[in-house]
Amino acid sequence: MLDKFKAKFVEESMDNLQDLEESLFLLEKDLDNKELIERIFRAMHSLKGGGAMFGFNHLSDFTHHLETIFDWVRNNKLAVTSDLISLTFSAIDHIKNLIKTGDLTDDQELKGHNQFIVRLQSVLSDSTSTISVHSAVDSQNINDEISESKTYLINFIPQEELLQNGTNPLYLLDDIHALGEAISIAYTHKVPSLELIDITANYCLWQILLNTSESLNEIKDVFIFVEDECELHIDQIADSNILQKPECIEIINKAKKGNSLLKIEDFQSLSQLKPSSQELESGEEKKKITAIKEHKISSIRVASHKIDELVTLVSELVTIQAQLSLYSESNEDPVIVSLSENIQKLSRQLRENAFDISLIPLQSELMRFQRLVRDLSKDQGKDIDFVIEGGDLELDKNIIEHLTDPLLHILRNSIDHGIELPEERIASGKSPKGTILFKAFHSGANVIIEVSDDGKGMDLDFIRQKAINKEIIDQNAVLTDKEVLDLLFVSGFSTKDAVSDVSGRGVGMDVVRRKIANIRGEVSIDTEKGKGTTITIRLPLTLSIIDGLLVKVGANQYVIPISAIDKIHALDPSQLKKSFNNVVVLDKEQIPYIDLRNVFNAPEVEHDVIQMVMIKAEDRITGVIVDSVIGEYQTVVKPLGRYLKKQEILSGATIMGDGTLAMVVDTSRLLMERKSKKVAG
Amino acid sequence: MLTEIKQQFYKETLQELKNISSDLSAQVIESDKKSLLVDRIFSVSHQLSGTGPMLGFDMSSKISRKLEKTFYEIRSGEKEVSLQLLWQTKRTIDSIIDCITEENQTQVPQQ
Repeated sequence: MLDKFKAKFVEESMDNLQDLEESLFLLEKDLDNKELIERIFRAMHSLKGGGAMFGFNHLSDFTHHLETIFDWVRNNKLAVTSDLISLTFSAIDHIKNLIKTGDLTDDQELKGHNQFIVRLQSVLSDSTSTISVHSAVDSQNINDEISESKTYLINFIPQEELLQNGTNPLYLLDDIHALGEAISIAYTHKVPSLELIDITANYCLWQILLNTSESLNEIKDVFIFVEDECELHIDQIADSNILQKPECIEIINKAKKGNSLLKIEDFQSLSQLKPSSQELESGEEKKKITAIKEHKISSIRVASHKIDELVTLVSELVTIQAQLSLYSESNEDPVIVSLSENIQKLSRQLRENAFDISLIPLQSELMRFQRLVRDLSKDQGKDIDFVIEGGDLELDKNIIEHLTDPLLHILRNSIDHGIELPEERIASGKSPKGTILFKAFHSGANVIIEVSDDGKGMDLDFIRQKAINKEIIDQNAVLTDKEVLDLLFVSGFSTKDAVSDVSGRGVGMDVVRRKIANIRGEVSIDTEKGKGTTITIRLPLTLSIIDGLLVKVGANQYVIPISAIDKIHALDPSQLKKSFNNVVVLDKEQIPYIDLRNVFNAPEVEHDVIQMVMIKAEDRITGVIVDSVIGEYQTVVKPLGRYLKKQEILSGATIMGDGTLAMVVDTSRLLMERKSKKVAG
Repeated sequence: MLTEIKQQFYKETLQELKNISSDLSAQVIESDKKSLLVDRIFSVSHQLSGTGPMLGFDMSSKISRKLEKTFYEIRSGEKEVSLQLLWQTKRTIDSIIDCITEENQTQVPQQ
């Protein structure tokens, strides 16, 4: 049971950290934003508390120091600087590690951990000298100006029967303390002598000075079930935090010593502003509305394996529904036909809902990219503005999982090879600050992700020369600009002369293209020397159900994804016979083709008309010859399993309504294989 | 007969109180479940404060009367449900659970 809670803590902490990183990014742009500082403080506070509860002692201890730093920040004892933000980012990385591994056991790691704590402590010790520079009055003024909290004096005078009703007044005091900063004074002067004490009676009363940003109702609600058994007065005594003011402390000490109750008048000299009751009410109203808004549940957390199960079940349902449709068509019973139609409608809706649920916003991964750009640009002395457009776009979670690495690589390339150093940029008449634009948007049934930089762009002649030197192409080869850029996707091609930590190891863009192809996506490059580079990734919305074109090759059926198809041509068989080197001429254009009958070793049958499915990939059209085209088919793609894993032309299989199998053709791999001549045309 | 009725009442009330207490422990309560929870709290407190005294659960019905009054106001729209209020409700329900258990133990001879 505890393990379950622990796992939940880990999951929630990771979310907390993401929130923390997001807040830090925003804080970096607005160093004095109190709301952000409060958010950061709260996230650390939760990590510390949860860590201690679930046995992450090192995490709890570490976050305690970080929390203290931000407690100082929120109390204006410490200023937010770029260094502090960098340190906090590094601390977040360390926290992530502590959450993943739990308490450290390795001596080396422990040493590093302790050194980090010393660094955190030094932030506080260094800052004390800075604080003394500010005059006490100034800092107090700042504190008062920006504070939204109010100070209340609460008189809690319970009747003697309070305990008999099952109320523990100490719990109530705890709840009051949880609302903000509080000082409680217990008055015991009514406690009788020992022989007269009734152990079930309460003789104490309390006064609490509470500084909180919560509403008056929130405070009143603490006492809601003891109202009849106590005398309760809650009065606002200041519209800022006065609890740390020496005059206030003096008043409290005096009351404690003399056992005399505090009065509102005692604090009159300390309060600067007394808002009218109307203002007080409208303020409370606003807070109430905000609180209600905050507490509205807009989403729930579901384990990802449950979503996977749901999607699998829906896929099964779609398959069964296809069988039912087939059966109802052959059996003309009107009841079955009508039932089948209803089930078809419902399963379509269910399928759409289930796939919608499995989409997650790209935003969840963007934080990593922001960190990467920030950290790398600082390391390399480059000034880069990372602009995100369309971060709320949603994609299949399986696609997002496979997309992160390629995108990280593309961004690394942009920072390392693309954006120039500030002095170089000034020399070439650009602003010293470079920009990387990350843009995601829908285009039909696809999602397009563009990563563009305004850096130095790519030198096509240089790439060409490099390819010749590496014997990738022949010296006399005539290549278009696009073909030259395609060389970057060839394995082992690296243009950076010095291998850096960042990129330039020669295992770059070919891996990117392969990984994107694995999720049925395409990647292309567009560049202009001196102006910048844009990498475009085109992706399908989902992986598990596709709109396919069902075709027949030999005795078997195959599915070609419709998203890859440009059009279908009917050919005279003689055109193929006349063709040379697997190229036919259509509409005065030379079209290379692949005969699927040869690819799948199907016997060639004579046809009056041959069907050629035109496939569009990376702006090129390639024909695919099939025996016949059956029609459109909603395809639930199933993985091929271990036995067929090694083959490269099929991306999956689907079960047809009549129970037979149809293989799903991976068009991008088919074309790639053709290029490398593995596939017989 | 009365003992049987009492035991039945005790068991059912205790179970519902425990269920509510557990539901109130959830970190977030969805808004549609919240109104259902309000109804359940009102219902159990109404039942306990009404029937409880007849069956000898005097103290627990006295405490539950406070809940009944507050949740009556909530149901009639006079009062809003805050997180603090739900938290205090949980505290009160837990003390009713202690109280009704104790009352039951002192009144019903152990078999």
